[in-house]
Amino acid sequence: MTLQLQDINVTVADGPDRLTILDGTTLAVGPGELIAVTGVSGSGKSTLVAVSGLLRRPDQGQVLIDGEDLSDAPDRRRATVRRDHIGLIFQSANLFPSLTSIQQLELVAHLDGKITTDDRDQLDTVGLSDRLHHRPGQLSGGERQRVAIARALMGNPSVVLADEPTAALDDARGREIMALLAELTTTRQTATVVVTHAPHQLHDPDHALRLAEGALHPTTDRDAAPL
Amino acid sequence: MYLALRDLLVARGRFALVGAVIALVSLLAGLLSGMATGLVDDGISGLRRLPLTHVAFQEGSGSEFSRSSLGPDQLAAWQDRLGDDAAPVGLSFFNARTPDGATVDLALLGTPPGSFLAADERGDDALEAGGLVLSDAFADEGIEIGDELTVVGPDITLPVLGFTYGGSYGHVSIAFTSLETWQNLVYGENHRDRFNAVALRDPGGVDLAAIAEQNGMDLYTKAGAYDGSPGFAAESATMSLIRTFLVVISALVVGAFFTVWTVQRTHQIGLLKALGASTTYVVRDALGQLAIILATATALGMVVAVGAGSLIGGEVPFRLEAGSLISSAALLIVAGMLGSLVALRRITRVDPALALTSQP
Ligand SMILES: Nc1ncnc2c1ncn2[C@@H]1O[C@H](COP(=O)(O)OP(=O)(O)OP(=O)(O)O)[C@@H](O)[C@H]1O
Ligand SMILES: [Mg+2]
Repeated sequence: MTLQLQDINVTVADGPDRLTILDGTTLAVGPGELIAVTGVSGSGKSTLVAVSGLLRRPDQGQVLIDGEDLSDAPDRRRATVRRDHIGLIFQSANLFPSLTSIQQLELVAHLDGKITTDDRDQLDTVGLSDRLHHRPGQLSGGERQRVAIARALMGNPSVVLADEPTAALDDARGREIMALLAELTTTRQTATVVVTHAPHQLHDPDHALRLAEGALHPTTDRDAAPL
Repeated sequence: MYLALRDLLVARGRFALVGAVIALVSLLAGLLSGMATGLVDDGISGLRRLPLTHVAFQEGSGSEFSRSSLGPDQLAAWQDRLGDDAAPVGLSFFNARTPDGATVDLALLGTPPGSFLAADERGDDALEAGGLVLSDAFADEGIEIGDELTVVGPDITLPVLGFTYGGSYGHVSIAFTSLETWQNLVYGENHRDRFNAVALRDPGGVDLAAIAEQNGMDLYTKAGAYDGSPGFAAESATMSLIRTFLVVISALVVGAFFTVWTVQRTHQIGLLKALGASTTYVVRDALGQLAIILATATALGMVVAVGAGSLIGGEVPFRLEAGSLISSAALLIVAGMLGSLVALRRITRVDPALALTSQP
C-alpha cells in the first residue's frame, strides 16, 4: 500500500474539553487507485487530508507512506517526504500570486534540486501549454486548478491528495478537473484521495467513502452524500 | 531565494515604499555622521595635523591648554632626552581687528621658529620675523598677505606673512606665530619664559610617562589631548548618542516592517512548507529578501547623503570619510537584521496545515 492510515485519532481543544475529530480512522490506498471521500461540513475531511499529507500529526495512530511510518518522524523528515512523495491540491488553487504558471512548477523543482520532471511537459499534460507565462490573477478558476494539479505532480509523487479541488468551479469545469485527476491516477499510478462535496462529478472512483463520527464508511449511493 | 526574488520584482511598489523609509533613515544616519565628524573635527583638526605624537601638560590641567602652564625647567627635562623632538607650545584664543574694521577669532599657536612644529620653510621665516601665518580659512574672510591684524586686548599689531593649511582648535581657526610673540601677547612684561605645553615626537625607546611624572606633568597621546579642546567631550558624547538612537530606531523600523510583512505572508509560508520546503529554506528565503531590501536602501541613502553633504559642505562643518560611511551602513544593516529576529520566530512556527484553510 502506498498510503496507509492506521487507527488515527485526532482531537482538538474545545474550551475546557477535547473534541474528537478522527476516531480510529483507517484507510489504505494503493498505486493507481482513486478514493473519493465525502462527509458533512465539519466532519473532519480536511483534517484527514492534513494527517495523510503530513501537515498535521495525529494524536494516535500511524501514517505510512510507501511503507515508512512518519507519524513520529522529525519535522525535517516529514517535510522531505512531503516534497518528494506527496502532491497536494487545495480547495482554492493556492498558487503564489507573484509567480507565473511555469514558475509555480519551477519553485517546486527548486525546493528539490533533484527533480528532473519537465515543467512544460507537466503543463502540457493538464492542457495549459498556452498559459505558461500568466500569473494566477490572469487565469480562470479552472486554469488555476490545472496549474495546481501540474504543480502537485512535479517530482512524480506516489500519493496525491486533493481537498475539494472543484469547490470553486462550476459543475462542467468540476467534471473536467475530476476526469483529469482520474486519468492522471491511472497514467502516473498514484495513490489518490479526493475529498469532495460533489461526488457525482467523479465517474468511477475505486471506492467512495463517507466520513462520519470520525470514521470512514463505504457508500453505495454516492449522489446521496449530503452537500 | 526563488520565491523571494520574484516577490521583490512583482511587488516592486510595496517594497519600494519600505525601501524608501529605510533609505531615509540611512540618509539621516549618513548626514548626521558627516555633521558629527565635521563638528568634532572642527574642534581638533588643527591639533590633529600637527606632527606630534604626545603632549605634556601641567599636572592636573586635564589636557586643556588654557589651564596648563609650564616653564623652562620642564622643557629642559624633555629636551635633555629627546632633543629637537620636544618643542614648547602656547595656545590661546584672541580677537583681532582686520584693516577694514571687522573682527576675527584666532586660536593663536606660538612655537619657536625652527621647532619641529614649524618645520615648513616659509612658516619658519614668518615666525622669525614675528608675524602671523594664518590658516587658509582666514583667506576666505578676505584677509591677504601683507594685511596687519590688531590683536584686541594687548593692542599689538602683527603682519600677515603667509597662509597654510592650519585647521582649527575649539572651532576657531589656527594662526601660527613665534613663541616669543605669543608670550608677548599673553604675559606682557611678566613670566616671559612660560608656555602652555610641550609637544613631543616619540622617537621610541624613551619612557615618556616617567619623564612626565618626575617633572610634574601629565602625558597625553595626541588623541587623548583632543578632550581638552573646548566642547570636544560633550560634542562627541552628544553625537554618539544621536547615532545610537538612529541605529536603535532603524532596528525597530525594520523589525516592525518585517513582522507585519511576515504576518501578511503567513499563508504563503504555510503553503511553502506544505509543498515540502524545510524551515531552514523558508527562513533563508525571508532573510535573503530582507537583506536585499536593507542593503539596497541603505546604500541608496548613503549615496544621497554624500551628495547632500557636498552641497551643504560650505556652510556647516561636514566631513564624510569612506570608512565611517561604510561602518555606519554596516551598523544599520546589522541593526535591521537584529530587529527582524522577532519575526523569524514567527516564520519557524507557521503551521503547514494553514495551506488547507482558504486564503484570507
Ligand atoms: N486547529 C483546530 N482547532 C480547533 N478546531 C479545529 C481545528 N481544526 C479543525 N477543527 C474542527 O475540526 C472539525 C473538522 O474540521 P475539518 O476542517 O477537517 O472539516 P471538513 O470536513 O473539512 O469541513 P468542510 O467540509 O467544511 O471543509 C471542525 O469542527 C473544525 O471546527
Ligand atoms: Mg475542509
